Amino acid sequence: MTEHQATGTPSDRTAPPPLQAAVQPPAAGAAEPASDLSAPRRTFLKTCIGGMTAVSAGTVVYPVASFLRLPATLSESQVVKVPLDSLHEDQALYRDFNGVPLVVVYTGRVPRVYDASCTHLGCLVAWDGGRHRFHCPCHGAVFNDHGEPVSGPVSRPLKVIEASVEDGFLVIA
Amino acid sequence: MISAIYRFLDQRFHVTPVLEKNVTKKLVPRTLGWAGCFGGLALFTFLIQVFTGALLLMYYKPDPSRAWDSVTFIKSNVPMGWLIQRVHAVGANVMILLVMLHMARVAYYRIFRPPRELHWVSGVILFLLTTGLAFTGYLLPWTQLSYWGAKIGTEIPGAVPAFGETIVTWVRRGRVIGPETLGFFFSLHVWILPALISGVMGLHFVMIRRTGISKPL
Repeated sequence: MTEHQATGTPSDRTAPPPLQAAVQPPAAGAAEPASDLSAPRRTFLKTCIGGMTAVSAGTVVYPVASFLRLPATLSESQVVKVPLDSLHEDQALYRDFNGVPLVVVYTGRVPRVYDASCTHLGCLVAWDGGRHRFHCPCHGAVFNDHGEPVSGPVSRPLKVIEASVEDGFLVIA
Repeated sequence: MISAIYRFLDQRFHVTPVLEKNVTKKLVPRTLGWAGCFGGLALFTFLIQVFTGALLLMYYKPDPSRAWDSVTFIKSNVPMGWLIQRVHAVGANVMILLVMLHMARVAYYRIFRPPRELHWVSGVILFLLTTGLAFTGYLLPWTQLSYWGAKIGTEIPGAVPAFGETIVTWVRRGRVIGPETLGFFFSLHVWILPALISGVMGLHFVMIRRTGISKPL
């Protein structure tokens, strides 16, 4: 008791010595029964504190992670319909197909549909109706009206998109 | 794992003495009660507002034709968007409440006396900035309440003699509440006022650290 009175006054806010002694881990090999009792209690308390911290963190992390997910938007149109009478010889139409840019070209009275992304690095190719060529503005790739590479830094043709003709419409599904 | 990272940093930057001095072994007066927490809680609420505000900013559009739709989109389409939007709206009220409780305690215990006069002065500025943030944020959803609230609020400086009309027009960025008002309030709400309040908060905290917190009787 005299030791405690010497080390701190009642107003001292640091942990009093008796508690310090109880918290200290037992020395190796000594006092086996004591370690049997205190170690599970410490594990239990650690698990409780850890669990409560995890639950509290979860109540913050879950809503924020949800918020960062993609929002439920209006249902996307899965079908693109192009009226055949809107197609004109040597001209191109650009359409969005669920986020994929499509180009419809009409040459030799045949409509063809391609993914308008250049197969080099993905820029949108521009249609040159006079020469029946697609030109990529980024690195000068050139494709013909069949989507085959003509010149520039490309080796792969433009991706062909399947389309069918139904009731005067070109349907891309 | 965490203790290994801590040891790595501690060996290089000597974190432990800094933590002990400022957090783990920092003593506060034992008579300081729970009422001493209001200032810190107001700061915590401000941080929540910054965080939820940053999330709302991903979808909000400061344009009269789209503002209401974008807030409705957040509330009904974005996952947990209703929660983030509510936390931001309720958090604004809670922050004002906490700032007022903090000021009431400081006034009641006369903590503003020397050497802490400037703590009070900076605190009043912080209170005005907080109400400014709440007022500018109130217009952003562009609801009937927002619109008329902004109209009435911006009419108040009209009572100033001679310059009243000029001030009202300047604050509204025009004669009526319109797209320019929304853009102005948006800029104030998401950048100018948060930047100002952060700076004044920093001064407020530095002053508290220099003088120490007041010891109650």
